Amino acid sequence: MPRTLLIIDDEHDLLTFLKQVFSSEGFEVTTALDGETGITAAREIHPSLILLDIMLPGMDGWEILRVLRSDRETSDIPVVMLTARTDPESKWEGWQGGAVDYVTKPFTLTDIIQRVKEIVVQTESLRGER
Amino acid sequence: MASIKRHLTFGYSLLAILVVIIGTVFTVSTNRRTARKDLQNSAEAFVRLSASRLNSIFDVYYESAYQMFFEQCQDVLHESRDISRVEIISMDGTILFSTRAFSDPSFIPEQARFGHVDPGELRAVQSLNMTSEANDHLVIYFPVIETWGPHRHTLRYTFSLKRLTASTTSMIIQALIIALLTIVLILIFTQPLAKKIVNPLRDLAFHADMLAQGASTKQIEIHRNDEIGDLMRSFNSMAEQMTDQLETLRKTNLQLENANRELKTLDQMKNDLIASVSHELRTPLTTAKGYVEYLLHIAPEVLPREETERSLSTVLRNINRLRGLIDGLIDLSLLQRESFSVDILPFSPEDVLSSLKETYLNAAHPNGVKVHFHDHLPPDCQIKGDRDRVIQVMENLINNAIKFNKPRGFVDVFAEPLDGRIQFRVKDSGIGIPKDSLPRLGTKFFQVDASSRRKYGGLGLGLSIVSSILQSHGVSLQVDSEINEGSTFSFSLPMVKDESLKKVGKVLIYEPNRDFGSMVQARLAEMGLHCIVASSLDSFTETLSRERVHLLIADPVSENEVCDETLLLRFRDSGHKMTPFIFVTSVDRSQLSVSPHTVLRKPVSLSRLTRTVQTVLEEVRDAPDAADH
Repeated sequence: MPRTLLIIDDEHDLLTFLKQVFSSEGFEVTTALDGETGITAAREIHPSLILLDIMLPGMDGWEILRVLRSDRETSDIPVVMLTARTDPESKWEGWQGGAVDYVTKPFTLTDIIQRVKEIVVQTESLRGER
Repeated sequence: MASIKRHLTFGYSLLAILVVIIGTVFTVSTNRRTARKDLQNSAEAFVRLSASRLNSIFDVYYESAYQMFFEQCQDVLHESRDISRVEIISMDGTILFSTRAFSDPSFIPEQARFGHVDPGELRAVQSLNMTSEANDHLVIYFPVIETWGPHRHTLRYTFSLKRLTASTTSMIIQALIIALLTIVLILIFTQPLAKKIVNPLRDLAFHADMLAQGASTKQIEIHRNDEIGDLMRSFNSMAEQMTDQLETLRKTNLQLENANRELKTLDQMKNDLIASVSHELRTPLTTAKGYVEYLLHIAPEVLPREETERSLSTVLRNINRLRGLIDGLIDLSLLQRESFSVDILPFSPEDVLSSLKETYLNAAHPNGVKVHFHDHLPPDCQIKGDRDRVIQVMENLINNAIKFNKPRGFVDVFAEPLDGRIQFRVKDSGIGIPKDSLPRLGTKFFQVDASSRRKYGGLGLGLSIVSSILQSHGVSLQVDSEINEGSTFSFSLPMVKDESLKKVGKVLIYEPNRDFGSMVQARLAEMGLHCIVASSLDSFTETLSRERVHLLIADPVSENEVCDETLLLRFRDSGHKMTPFIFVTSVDRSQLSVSPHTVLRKPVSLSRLTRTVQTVLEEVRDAPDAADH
């Protein structure tokens, strides 16, 4: 089963870029520009991991995270928050909201790839144990 | 307060009582002494007078004619008011007779026994006419030394002091009555006096309390000219000053509070700005950095050329976006300063629209927002303004309209003529702006709701830049908004009447500095004006002999000398009787002998020059009869 990745961000360029990068890393990448499409996509494809931007038009990242966590279909998908905000408060909010990791923009590419891979592998092994 | 009255009343009363008591004691004692003396004297005189009579009778008494004696005694008793008793005492102290017998109903003369007197006492009074006294009576002994017999006896008169005591008592009573009366009078008189002192003090106290509580005080009414009146006047002026000072303080306080609030708001804005600047700068940086890293480390070889190109162009685009953000910040700080100037020149609105269409028409916008253009521009129309700044304004407005839109919303861009101007309108189907926020639009860093910054990003500088740019064009931004329906932003710029520049289009430039001359020429050529440059007086005259121009722009200096008169003479002689001219020179106006339409002092900005040229030419066009062409 191929590893799937859902990226929700309103930055078109960034989406294109991340899609390119993770595709070449062997992921099947789906992108969404806003929360609603993102949530719908998450329910449909049940990705291995979601990269979620916080500052989005309409629903913001926290709201999307809450929706994903409260939905049984999507509650077990690990979510990595992406944000340009660096203040500790938002990080704290992220941990409490149930995000597994928190990546600040601008990120280092190798770092984000490694983190995403690690989390996906961990989640898979956990599921395998179950 | 009441204690003043009490003190006054009590003090005066005490004083009065003291005076009365001392007076009474003094009077009574003096009086009593005198009265007693009088009484004693009269008693002694009485005794002397009556004693012999009684003596003689007493003899008779012994002869049992006591009835007569009694009568005599009674007479004696009646003769003096004060006498209470007369007694006859024998040498051995036996009281032989006492007038007490008269008041004793059981008295029998033969058996009369009246008791004894201490003989020692009698002996002591034998030799003299002795007077002894007690509290309530005066006793006078009168020894009778008779020749007539063995009986030697003493008359003892007892005078009552009751009358004296009674008069003393009545005197004391009178004194007491006087004292009481005085107290009553004091009470009656001190009351209003106290009132006169206490009431104004109470008034003062009341007003002072009011003042202390910060209530605005009325002036105390003053009806008196004494010290209390003075005090009240002082109080009034003090209260007035205090009220003034309080008012000043209150105002200063209010100002400080407002200033503080403003500072706090500014501080909050600054913090928000730092947060959003960091967010806004980070976002494009992320993409750019990501691509660069990707190209550098991950896929340097495997990537096809077009992929690399695409990546790099994305990097470039994001870098440009960063630059745009930084430019916005710089623009704004520039626009805040007075020195900011715009280059107002005629330009084609068509130009602006095509530039905008290039940017927005086929691009994919976030949220699937679509941008439509509706331009109904007259052919060859030109408007006055700074082309690049107008494009910036439109981009800002359109970007805002896209950003604050609903998903799959639309943005309509209009450009159409309206009352000799071209109106630009940007209409969106967005979230709208609350009525109460409308006045604050265009305030630096202002976004309608605090969460919108997070939601929509951006620095909140857009409209503030737009307002500043439009302001320097002398126009204002109109906003029309309906919550959840969308907003329309519009402004208009004046159209240049097309024929104006074409009809009056020839300009002669006399400028000894060739570089400056050709710079002006190039600039005016952009405006569609045909310019001839002359750099010497000879070529100037030569040009005038064959050309008719509509405007002369000249620096009236030839070989470092002011030659404005010569210049103008030659110009007018060549048939340009009414043609306007502008001097652009470093020479002071006072050094000129002629008065040109306009003098621009060097150094002058090109935009200022072009504006002036435009104005002068428009004047010529509007009053064609004045110009002789």
